[in-house]
Amino acid sequence: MTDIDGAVDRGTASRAAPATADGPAVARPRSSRSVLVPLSYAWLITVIVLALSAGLLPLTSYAIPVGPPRQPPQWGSPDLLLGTDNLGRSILSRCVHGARISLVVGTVAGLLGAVVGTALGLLAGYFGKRTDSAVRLVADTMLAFPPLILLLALSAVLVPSARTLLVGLTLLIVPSFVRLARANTLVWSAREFVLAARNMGAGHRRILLREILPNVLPPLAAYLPIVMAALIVAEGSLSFLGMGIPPPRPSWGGLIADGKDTITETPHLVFVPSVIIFLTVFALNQAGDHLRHRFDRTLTD
Amino acid sequence: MVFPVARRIGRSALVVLLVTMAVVALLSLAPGSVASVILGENATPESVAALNARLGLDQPLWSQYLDWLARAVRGDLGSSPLTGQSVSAAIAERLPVTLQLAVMALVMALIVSVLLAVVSAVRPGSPADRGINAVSSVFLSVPAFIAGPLLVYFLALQLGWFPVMGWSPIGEGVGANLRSALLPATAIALTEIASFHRLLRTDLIGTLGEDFVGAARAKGMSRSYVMFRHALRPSSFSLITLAGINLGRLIGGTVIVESLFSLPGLGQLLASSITARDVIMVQGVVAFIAVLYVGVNTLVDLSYRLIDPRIRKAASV
Repeated sequence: MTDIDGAVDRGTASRAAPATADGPAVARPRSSRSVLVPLSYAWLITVIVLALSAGLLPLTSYAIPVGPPRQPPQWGSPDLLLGTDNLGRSILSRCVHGARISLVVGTVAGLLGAVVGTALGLLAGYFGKRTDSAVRLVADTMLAFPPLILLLALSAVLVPSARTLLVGLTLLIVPSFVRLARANTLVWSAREFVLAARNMGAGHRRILLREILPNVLPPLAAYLPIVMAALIVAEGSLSFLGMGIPPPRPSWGGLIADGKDTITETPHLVFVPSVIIFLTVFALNQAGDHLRHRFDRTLTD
Repeated sequence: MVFPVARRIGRSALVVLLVTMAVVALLSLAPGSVASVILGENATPESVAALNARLGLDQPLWSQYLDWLARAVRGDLGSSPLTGQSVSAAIAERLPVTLQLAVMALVMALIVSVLLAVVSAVRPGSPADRGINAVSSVFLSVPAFIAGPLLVYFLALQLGWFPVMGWSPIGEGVGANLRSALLPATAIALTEIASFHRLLRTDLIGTLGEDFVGAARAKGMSRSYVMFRHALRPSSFSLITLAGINLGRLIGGTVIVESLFSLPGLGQLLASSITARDVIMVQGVVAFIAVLYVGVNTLVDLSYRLIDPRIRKAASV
């Protein structure tokens, strides 16, 4: 399932491997990636535009039946382009509205978690000592819950809603950003220009915000797509188990769960949302790899 | 040598304390009270108060925690207020299925990814390497809740090679047991294969460029001998660490496949307890899983220090 920390760790691992960055050996697969990267960005833009304009598209609402149940994909009315679900509702409409949930959840929880995690990581890396131990202890404790288990535990006591989901997903990624930000801050705060700023009388606040943060930000931002992919998978897993966004609002994981019981007769109920989730997660992973190669210099230096 | 190990264990113990504290405090997050969550909406205030008193939930949080901890170290995680079953007995009953799934998935992922990474690293950039890389990035983007239904559709329904759902305990024959476990284990192994392959490939390419590999080849050792005896060994340490970290995702994956294939494991217990609002059971299972996870990762960390001579020297961090 989701493991953002796994993604983070892949970064550190390749960092440890010496002399791979400049060798011709690695240059070639990178050039083959360049075909997929524009395609990935194109897909992401398409999904974002469709999700933003969901209300403007000539589609019937996701809650209203548009035809007989379980129709296969067919030409004609835009509602039937991807077929209909168990209740005769348009799958295209449900996928487009499901995209809103997935994207909102991925973006908002991703950004919130990044802000909180980065702030804590900066403080821990800069002040060190007790602050560092305390922050790391909190981060370790949060990492001690396997991601899906943490979400399930929260959903056991809280009322399922978009807000609960956002809180849970944010908690999920804070520790990863704490670790990333802390590691980067440690490197930058040992640099001469930080010492120079301190000698010129700059306070902690100024050094953190004006000297260190701008340097730490690009590599962290480059991790955002990968984090978003992990969050979309997490939300999908939760909805698949029926513990995500409550119906009738559609979500991608919920669409798969709805279709899986009739997979023998109407496999498209599962295939369509599966392909959409796969393409989105794949595109985000590709975009993330691309951005990390460009902005995370610790990967290649 | 002894000092960092003791520190690592002490730190893990601290994390375990905090984790269990968080799990106990989790119940106080419930809107209203836990008893009203368990009893449902049409409970009388008297029955809610009675259940709260019986579960000790009317006590202050710290005394609840101390009580819980004192019982937990003796293996008593309470009992379900709905079914009366003891939580630790329920966990013990379900654990073997989940363990088997997780271990099978891990072993499968390790075998496949080592083979793929070796083929990749022999000639980086070759058509074989590129093909494997493509497959690997596809696998990385296929979560268990997509892989599961697709595997069921193609391998169980269309080809009929595997049962669609259900679990055959190992007592009913090893063959039947493996057949019922293979599909769910594969569904969670796919992402791990990709993640292990990525790491191991980069690691191996780096190692193969080092001087000692060149020296071994110059002494006339065969390519395969150098690959398996010299190059894979140092790379296996980072693989063990990654396996420990990815265990969290693997556990999440077992919850998904257990619900999809209706396998009687811990994940299914957790999911059904959540649906039934059996908060005490959820609390026990979550605490158990989290502590197990911390324990495994501590062991991984320590074994890594013990096995790898390079870390043994530099183990001051």
